Amino acid sequence: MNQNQDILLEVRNLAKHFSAREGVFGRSIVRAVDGVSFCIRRGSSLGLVGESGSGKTTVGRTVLGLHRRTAGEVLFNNIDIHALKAEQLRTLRPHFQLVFQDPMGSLNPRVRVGDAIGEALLEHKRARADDVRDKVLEVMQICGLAPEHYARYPHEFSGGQRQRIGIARAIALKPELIVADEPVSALDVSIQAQIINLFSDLKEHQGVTFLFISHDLAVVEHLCDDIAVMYLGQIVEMASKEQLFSQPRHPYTQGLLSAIPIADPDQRRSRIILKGEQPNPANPPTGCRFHPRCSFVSEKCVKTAPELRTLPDGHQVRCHLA
Amino acid sequence: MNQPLIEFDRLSVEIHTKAGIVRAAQDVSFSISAGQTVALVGESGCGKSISALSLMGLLPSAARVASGEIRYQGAPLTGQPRETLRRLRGNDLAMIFQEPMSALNPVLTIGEQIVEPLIKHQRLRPKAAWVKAVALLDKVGLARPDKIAESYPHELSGGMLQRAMIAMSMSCQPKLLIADEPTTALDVTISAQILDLLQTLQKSEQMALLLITHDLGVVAQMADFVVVMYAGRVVESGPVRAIFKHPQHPYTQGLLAARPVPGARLARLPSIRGQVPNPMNLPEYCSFAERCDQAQAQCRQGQPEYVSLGAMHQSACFVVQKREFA
Amino acid sequence: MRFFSSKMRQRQDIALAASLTPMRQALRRLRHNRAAMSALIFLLLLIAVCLAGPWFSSWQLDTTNALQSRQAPSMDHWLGTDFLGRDVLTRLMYAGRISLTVGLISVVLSVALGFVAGALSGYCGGWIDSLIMRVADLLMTIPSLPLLIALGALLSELKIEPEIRIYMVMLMLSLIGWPGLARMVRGQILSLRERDFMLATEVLGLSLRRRLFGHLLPNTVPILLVVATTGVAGAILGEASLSYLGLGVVPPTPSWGNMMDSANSFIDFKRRPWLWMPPGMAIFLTVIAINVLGDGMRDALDPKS
Repeated sequence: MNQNQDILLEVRNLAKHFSAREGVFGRSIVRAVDGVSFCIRRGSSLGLVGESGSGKTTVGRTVLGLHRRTAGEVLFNNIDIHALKAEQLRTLRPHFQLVFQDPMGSLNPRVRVGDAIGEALLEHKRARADDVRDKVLEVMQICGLAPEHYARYPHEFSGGQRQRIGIARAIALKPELIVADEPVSALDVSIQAQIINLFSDLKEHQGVTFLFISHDLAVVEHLCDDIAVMYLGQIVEMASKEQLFSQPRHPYTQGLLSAIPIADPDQRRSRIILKGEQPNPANPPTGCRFHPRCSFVSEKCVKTAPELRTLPDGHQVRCHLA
Repeated sequence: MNQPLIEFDRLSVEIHTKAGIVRAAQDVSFSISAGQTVALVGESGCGKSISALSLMGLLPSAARVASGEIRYQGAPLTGQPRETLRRLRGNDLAMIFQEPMSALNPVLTIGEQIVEPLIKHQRLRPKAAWVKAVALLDKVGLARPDKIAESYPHELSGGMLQRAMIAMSMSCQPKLLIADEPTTALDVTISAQILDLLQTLQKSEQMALLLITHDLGVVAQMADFVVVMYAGRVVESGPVRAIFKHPQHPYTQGLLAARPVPGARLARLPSIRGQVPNPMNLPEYCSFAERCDQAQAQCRQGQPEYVSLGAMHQSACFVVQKREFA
Repeated sequence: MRFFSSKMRQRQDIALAASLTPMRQALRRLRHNRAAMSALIFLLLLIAVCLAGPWFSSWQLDTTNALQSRQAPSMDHWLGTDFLGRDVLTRLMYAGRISLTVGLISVVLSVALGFVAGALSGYCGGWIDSLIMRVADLLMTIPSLPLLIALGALLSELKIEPEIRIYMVMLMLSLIGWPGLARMVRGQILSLRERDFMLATEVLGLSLRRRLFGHLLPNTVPILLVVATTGVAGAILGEASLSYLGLGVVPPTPSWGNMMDSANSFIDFKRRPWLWMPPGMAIFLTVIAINVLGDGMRDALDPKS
């Protein structure tokens, strides 16, 4: 029971299917997320890694109640947020926030930066009209923004500063959980490092719990304690980052790790290059969803879908061979 | 010493906008030998794409070469008549882009788009051209190339489109392929496939590759020679090992340190502080000085000259200069 | 105390650093657009002349003088006189008041109607959206001129007083104008709703009222301004065509459209251009100026251009 209290977010068998139009009359069901389960302990961070179309963004949005679930549960502090009424969910929202990939698109071009950060504070009575400015300035300082930025408009900032504004807006509410969806992939390398450091600080000093969604394993490895790898709407491997990086069990994870180009000309290695591409999630392959691209494929893989198994060391993997 | 294929000689490009003149590239010099892979590295707006576009003669209408020149096999390219450039573009120089979708015509099939230059530049008959187009698609590793040739761009995935773009650029056996962020829009596993394909083709076709990218990992894996650009200028250039093992310019050092490396247990990433300066009003002194931890008084007084640091390795920095001649 | 004063100073700094709102920036861009500014100055002059001109005129609006009918322009009558001997210039200025007012008010009405309809349609979706859009489609499929002519004929049939008739004409014109605006507002709202910043307002748990009035609707205002501006030109033209046909604003109330009526007579058309040229030029120049201003506003409000 004690351990249960430690868990901030538990996702059980979450599924999200979209119905997509196909041709003129046809409809097909895209299983964007299909039976995803994971837990995040308070104060820790989980990295959700996958390629485009793996369903990682949909997981993030469904966890926040921005998409209606198709099946499964999202337990935040043991409350199933999808069972709440709209107004109840709205009052709970300050507890879990989202940081977007595109910092410009996520800011209203007509709202001053300070107002954008302070608005939700007022809405949720976390500040009064006379102290909201001070509270906003405090958060801005934490996020590396200067006081004179308060009255500026988003278009006056560079990409990295805009992302700082987006982060400031999220943390102003002192959320317990932040879902960060590719928060650095739209930024330049030198700016990426600044924002990654900002996330490290928030984790360290504010005790925020993170669900970090990214395609970049190096970034996730730097910031997260545990890593889940997604492929075609399912988690194929989940482990602590040390385990995952030192002993990747799933062939997809192995390929993914091997595909990261290493910034060292002396380590030009022969890489495992995964053949083919991720199939259409509207029409996933039979058996193991990864089998058409797997070089260790056996007959069993084509016929039966593997379950996510937990190995003795706590490593979870969805593969017949591991 | 044999003549380089391409030479950039103090090339400066200006873009005229309503708000003022943007000095997009300034005094850019480097060269590409036949069969060599040169990587042009830098962050967005550093002038790497504009340099490549001026090589292709594809500068936007508001931009013009202000000074300097680009030479192709010793003959100046800048100021050549359009027709000469067009022929060169079709035959000796080819380019692929970050977004293959926007570089392809959505109403023509892939095959029709590959056939066009074959008929125009190589004077092939339509039938023979189609056969060659299918062969090219096969060569870039597309399964069922005959089927792909008949499909429209929107029917293919990003990785397949990039392969089709490469097939198209290969159609006239170019001596130089310019790849502008060829894998930035692609997923990691697909990007590994495309880089692998580029390397294979480069060897089999013996062409030079000008790789424009912001990803240092890609550079380390692919390049022979590296040119690092910052705010329109080349700040450091040299053989790939020299750049990665002994970076001299503070910007190169910062860039290399700023990327998280799997396995390195660092609490914080050493980041470069501040922002890239506004290209509309760059300082008259070293444009990196304001972000540089090693900056000295001299750095805010003028533009640093290039210092030679051994074989082909040079850097434009006062701090390096001082260190070398101390 | 000291703490307090430092905080005060900080606030002043913030006030000083306050920068241009996107709207102000657009205005600044507009000020640098020479064509749009000339159009604006022309329109302001026109309005000033129409409003103040009649005070300085030595002629009354309705003073007829049978002895001086159809006189060519002279020192007394700068633009000549009409068939009842009334001063054309004086009537032109009064007519300008009427035509501009009809144009403006009918656009204000159709913007109000179109905005509410479009916003409801775009935000609520479902059957509300279908209902509003089908009504709008219906109105848009009926050719507007025959519809206006039929309504105008109805007004004549009912023998409506000329003063009240003006208001009826405004209503008719806004009835024609709102569907286009509603469609545009709806489209704008549908695309804005998908933008990340609207998703952000949901994540932040802002109330519906705040999301609508603080974020969604203000972002439709710029495009609405542009469309409304060009709509004024359309309404002025609509009023002019109706009145020219005798179905809009009717004499004795002057309007630019019904003043052009004299062009109906072949002899007047050929020999007495002062009867129809001034109102014709007034309509022509006003419509062009409004459209140029509208284009300028479109450019100014779209930072990408």
